[in-house]
Amino acid sequence: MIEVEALTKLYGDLAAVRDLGFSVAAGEVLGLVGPNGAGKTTTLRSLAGIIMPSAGTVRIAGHDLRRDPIAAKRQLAFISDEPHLFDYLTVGEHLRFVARLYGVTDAEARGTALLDELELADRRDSFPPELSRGMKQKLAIACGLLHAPRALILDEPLTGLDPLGIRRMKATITRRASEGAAVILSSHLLHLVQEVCTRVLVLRRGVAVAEGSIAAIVAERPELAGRSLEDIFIALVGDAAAP
Amino acid sequence: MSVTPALGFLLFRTARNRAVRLAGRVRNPRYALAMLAGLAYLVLIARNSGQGNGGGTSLAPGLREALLALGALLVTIWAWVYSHDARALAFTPAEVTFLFPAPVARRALVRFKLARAQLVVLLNTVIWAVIIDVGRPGMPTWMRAVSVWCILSTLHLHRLGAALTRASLGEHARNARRLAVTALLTAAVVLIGAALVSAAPLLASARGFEQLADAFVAASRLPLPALVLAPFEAVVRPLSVTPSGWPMAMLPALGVLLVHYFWVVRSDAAFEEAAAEASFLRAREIEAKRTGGQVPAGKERYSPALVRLRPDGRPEVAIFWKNIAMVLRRRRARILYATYAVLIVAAAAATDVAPRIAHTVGIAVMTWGGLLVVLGPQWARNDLRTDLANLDLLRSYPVEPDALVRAEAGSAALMATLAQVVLLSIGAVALWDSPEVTLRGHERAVAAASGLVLLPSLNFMGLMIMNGAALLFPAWVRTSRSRAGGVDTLGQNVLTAAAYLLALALALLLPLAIAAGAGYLARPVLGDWSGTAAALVASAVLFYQAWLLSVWLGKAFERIDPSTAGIEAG
Repeated sequence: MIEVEALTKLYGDLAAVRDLGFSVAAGEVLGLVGPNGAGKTTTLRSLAGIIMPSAGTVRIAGHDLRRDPIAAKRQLAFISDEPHLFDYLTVGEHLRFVARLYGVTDAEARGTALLDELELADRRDSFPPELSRGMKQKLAIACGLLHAPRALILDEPLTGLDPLGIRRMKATITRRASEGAAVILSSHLLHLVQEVCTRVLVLRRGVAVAEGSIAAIVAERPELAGRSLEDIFIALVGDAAAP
Repeated sequence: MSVTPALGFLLFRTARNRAVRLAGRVRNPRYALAMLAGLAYLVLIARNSGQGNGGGTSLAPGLREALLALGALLVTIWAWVYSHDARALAFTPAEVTFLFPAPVARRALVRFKLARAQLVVLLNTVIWAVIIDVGRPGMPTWMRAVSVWCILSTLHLHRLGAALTRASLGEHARNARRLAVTALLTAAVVLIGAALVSAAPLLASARGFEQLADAFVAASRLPLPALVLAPFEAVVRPLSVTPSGWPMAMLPALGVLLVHYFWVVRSDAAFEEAAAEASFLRAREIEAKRTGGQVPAGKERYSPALVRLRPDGRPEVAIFWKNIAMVLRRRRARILYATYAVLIVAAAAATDVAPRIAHTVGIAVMTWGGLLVVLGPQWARNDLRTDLANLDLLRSYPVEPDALVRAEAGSAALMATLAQVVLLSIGAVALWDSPEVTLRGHERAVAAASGLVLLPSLNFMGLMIMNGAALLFPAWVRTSRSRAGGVDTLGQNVLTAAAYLLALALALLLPLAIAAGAGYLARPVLGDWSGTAAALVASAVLFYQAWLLSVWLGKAFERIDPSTAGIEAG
């Protein structure tokens, strides 16, 4: 569903991401982890079509993001850690706006179900300035899920959510994956990655240093056996994660 | 103005780093070329000015001084009336975090604020000193620069003082000081009103612009208007005197400046609280801009939606709808349109009851409408310039880039066109029975029809140019109104306006040439209506050009990298 080949993003002489390749099949949840500055957000923004890679190929549901960006973007949703909302549109109007962008004809029914799922049903006529930080994040998530994307890209999705919201969000992610979406999730919360993701991709200074299920990664490096995920992470990224 | 060493360090390093970043930006050939063009423009004007021809209209000294004084008065009134001028007090979120809890005296904070504002004032002083046509051969540039600096600094201090006084009024609910300030402001309003009433007969009797100018100068010398304008004339006089009279003219101007300085630093308002409130509002503005919102006006509430968006159809319509909602939902916009409606009715009624007043109002509104035709695309900002702070989101939408650019520019063009048509209609209604309007019935219809077919394309092209500038020079785009300091930043705006008008003039060359040919050919058949036919042709060609430009800008939109574009919210 999401295929990445030799993805490279250069900023002058600096390679934020170098020669990155991986794929995420329908139903999989890939956790993207790495220390600050490892290139996680650059990778996710490249996959979402926000920034143009310097080299490499990204395919979303078979559509080349460079050659056919509109078709590719119709199949994906990008939800960032900061909720991007329009102050002058109500919660309901945000959903109608997104429905028009993605051509969702049954938006009313889908929107109502999503607002119920995310506990925003009674805030349909509220404007974003009237919402709490967590509610804004939920609305951004609802907007991202409205068109039932086949590829879901989440950058630190739990930021701002309360414990109940976090639990619901984790359920939402796994449900979308079980319904056939390919999910990429970037987070510093290793327990979330361990709980939700089927595989992880560890980045260090723009380069993949490990990929696969945690069991597979440990199998490749027997010295990591029996260690906590945090220890495994630190061992993989080395001094890049040092304070 | 002495500030504590830490504040001085902050001030100096901020200015230095900003200059370094600007220099780094100029390494990009596109920015370097634009910067060179701007500098060449300034040098050209400076050379013309030095040769004494000024390149502009040469106003009589009395008229120039009276007009400048009136301008300063209007800016001052604006500072007191306009509710958002609390922004004059605003600090950046980082300054609030670091400075407010720090052991820094309130007066040091005020001085820091003043010193920081001087960065903007000095930049605009340089621009104005070059741009303005003082028409006085032999007036050294440095004298002109000092005069301009004095005016801009005084106006900035007044804006700050007004904001502090308002904060003080809010703080002292019912004490003698509040009563005294209220009485003083009331007296000022009454005085200005009385001055207007005493000047009105002279102004109303004027026929044409020359007579109006003479009447304006004469009216400004009547006792009451002269009293009202006296402090303002003291501030602006150094720009109108001879070099030998300049030192003496500067003394009262500096006196007014000093009075303002002491007024501000000794103001008893709870500066930190007022500034914190203003800073909070500013932070909200930045956040709103960053998330694509319009500037939230404090407690402003949004009105219900005007049109329901259908979920099916072309996706770029959603962008258009969103941008229209941005303007129409704001209560202030609705109040403005309601005012327009009242003005139309009042203008229609006044043509019978008070024709002279209707004529004067009609000329004023027409002038404002005409100005909006020229500069409307600079002011209508419900487009990519606002959305630029939200580029990540736009880039993730499945919308063709050129269609997105058209939707962004088109929504602002629609609002600009509406405002122009409404204002020009009010002017036309007010001037309907004026004996000085010589157009006959069908000529008026021709003019109205020509305007109606030309304005949408003109605005569409104008907005395409402004949005193109935002895409090509994103680091120079102001994404929030909070960065506009007021009259002290007008110099930068004048440069932008000059670049915009030059681009628009170039874009109009081909449409006007083709339209002239079409009008000539259609004249024998259509008579006076050939003018409308020519306008229609010009509009079609202009629209086609704008469409082609949007296709090119769509490619620029695809190439722009939000990480390196240098877009700054706020």
